[in-house]
Amino acid sequence: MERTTRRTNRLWGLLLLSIFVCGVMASGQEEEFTFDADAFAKKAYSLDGYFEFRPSLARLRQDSSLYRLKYFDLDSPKTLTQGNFALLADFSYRKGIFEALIEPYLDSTLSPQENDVSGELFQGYLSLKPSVAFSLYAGKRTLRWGKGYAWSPTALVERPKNPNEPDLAREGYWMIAADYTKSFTGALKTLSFTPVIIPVSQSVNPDFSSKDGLNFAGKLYLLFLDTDIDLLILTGKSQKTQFGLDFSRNLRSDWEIHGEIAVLRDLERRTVDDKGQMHKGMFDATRYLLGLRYLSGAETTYILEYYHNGIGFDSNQMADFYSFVNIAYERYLATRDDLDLKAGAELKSYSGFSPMTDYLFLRIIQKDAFGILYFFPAVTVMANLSDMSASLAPELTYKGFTNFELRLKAFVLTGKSGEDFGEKPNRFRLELRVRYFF
Amino acid sequence: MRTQNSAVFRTALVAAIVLVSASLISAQADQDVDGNAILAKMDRNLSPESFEAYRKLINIEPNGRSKEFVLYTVKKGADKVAALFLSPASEKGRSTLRLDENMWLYIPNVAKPIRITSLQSVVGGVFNNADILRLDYAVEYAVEQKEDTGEEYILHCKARTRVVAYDRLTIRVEKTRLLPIQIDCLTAAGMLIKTIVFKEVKDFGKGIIRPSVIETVSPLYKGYKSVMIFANIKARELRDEVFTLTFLPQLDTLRK
Repeated sequence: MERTTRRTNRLWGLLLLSIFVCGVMASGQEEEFTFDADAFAKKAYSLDGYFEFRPSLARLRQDSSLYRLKYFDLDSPKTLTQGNFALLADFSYRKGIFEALIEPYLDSTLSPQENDVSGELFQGYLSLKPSVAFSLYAGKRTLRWGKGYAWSPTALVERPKNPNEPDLAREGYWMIAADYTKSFTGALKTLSFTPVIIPVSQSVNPDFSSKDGLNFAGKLYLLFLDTDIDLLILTGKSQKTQFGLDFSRNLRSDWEIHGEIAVLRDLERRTVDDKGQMHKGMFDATRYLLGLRYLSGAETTYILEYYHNGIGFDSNQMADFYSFVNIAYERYLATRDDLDLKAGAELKSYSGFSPMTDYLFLRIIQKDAFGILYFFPAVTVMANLSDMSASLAPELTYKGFTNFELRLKAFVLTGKSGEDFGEKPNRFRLELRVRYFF
Repeated sequence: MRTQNSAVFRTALVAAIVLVSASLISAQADQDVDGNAILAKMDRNLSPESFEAYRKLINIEPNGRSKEFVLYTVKKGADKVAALFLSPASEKGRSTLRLDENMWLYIPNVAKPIRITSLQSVVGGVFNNADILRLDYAVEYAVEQKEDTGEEYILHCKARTRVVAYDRLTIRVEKTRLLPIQIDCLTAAGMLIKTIVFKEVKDFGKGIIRPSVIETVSPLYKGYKSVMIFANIKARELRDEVFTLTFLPQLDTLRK
């Protein structure tokens, strides 16, 4: 019995000693960090991209003009639930100075009202890069010109940006383009020239312009006196010559200012009067934007932009359009004749993102909010200065899980009947976006 | 006679004050030159003037969870540095460029470089852009005071311009190898923003012997830690055109 007790005590002693020794060893142990850089060696092939799942719930504004245009043939839905799946993939192959890239985008929408699957080739081009100062591209490519965050008036050779989602990838145009760059010492540090050739025909870039022909664009970039400056031009058979100028510079380490101006000539615009008469006219216009970006000591970023859309509609023109749609809708209810409603839906410039002339944009983003790493709450306000209707979009983004991005975003649209945001089809929209990157 | 003595005394006193002041000014000037020379030598010991390197950033949270980022970095001369994210997939292709006091961020989907500030964080966590796109310390800071503790120099540095992320640095430098041991980053008022500790001195070849691990903690992020591990640091000659907005989306083509 005594021997057993002694043995038990000895075992306990050994156990405690082991725990103590392990504790001492553990307390003195350095954390070990390893890094095998060879695992990241360059490969000839690469495949990158993301899968996206985006369910949403929208409360619709049934008496709005754009609701009537969009849902007139449905059973007057009050709410709209949707599930979207998307895939964006970048497949590239590199050998020496040669590179090929293909970027397809697939999107599917599932909802009680509609099921739709669409696919586009966003980019697909071949490039030659014989030196760091010169590159040549041929194929479908997205060019992003301009310094604005929500809008880019000087984006002369790209599809319109959605100010609600300015960071989304967009489809490019078929083109031949080159980049030539030269660095200097002194006030002028960098000079780059980007010439672009864009053909337009019924089968190539048909949505670039309604007139077929060969078009030429160019961007001259200067880093002069610590200011980014772009001089832009678009000319050719499909439109009269258009000019653009943009700039961006840091006022201080925490303040940035940017601006853009585009002078557009002979733009074609279709309008409709309250009696339903369509008019087609050509006119000149100027679009400009002025913006500020500020980073506070608490790591809050503020982006403020004012946008003047010289090709936008004034209040009377918008009122005519709303009146036309409402009369067409009444006629449809009475006779089931939907011709005018379908014609109204074709007038895309009325139902676009920013159809009127003056807008203000404010976005506030907080980094690592409430001490939570990779947590980015934000709020975005976009207001139409002509009628003071607005869209308010709070959002919560979390990027803490490797290769996942989670975002919950709501849109609240305020405005009365006859006002820009009051005539949008949604009153409220809640959207969850889950992205997995590969 | 008394008046004459008084005049001599006054003259001697003025001469003594002038001599002492001159010697003090001269000593201060020597110390400044010496401190700045130490800082410049420390910079060269950390990396060649123009180089390429791979870095892994690890953000460690108080609960032990961590997230890793891998970057490819190139630097040329005193004012040009660029970095490209290779991993994780959610950040791949994201690149940043610093040309003197100008900084830009390029995000592949956005496909347009935007101007950023040195305090902004590209990845979240304790690291900010200035840590990722750091120029030589001697380019950004001037030594105001140098202490010699026997085994270490302690350099009290002040920012040369207002665009840097930290107004003051206190750098502990190992005397024998002139390598940094620890850097305290402070505001103008002397408030500690972060502490950077240099560890695990490693021979990277071709005369580059330097700490391979840098740990950063911040009282603003209590319990959080960021670690930067260096690999494959190599001297490399690069053209100035590499450090331009036009080339920023093509940084990956530099990798061999």
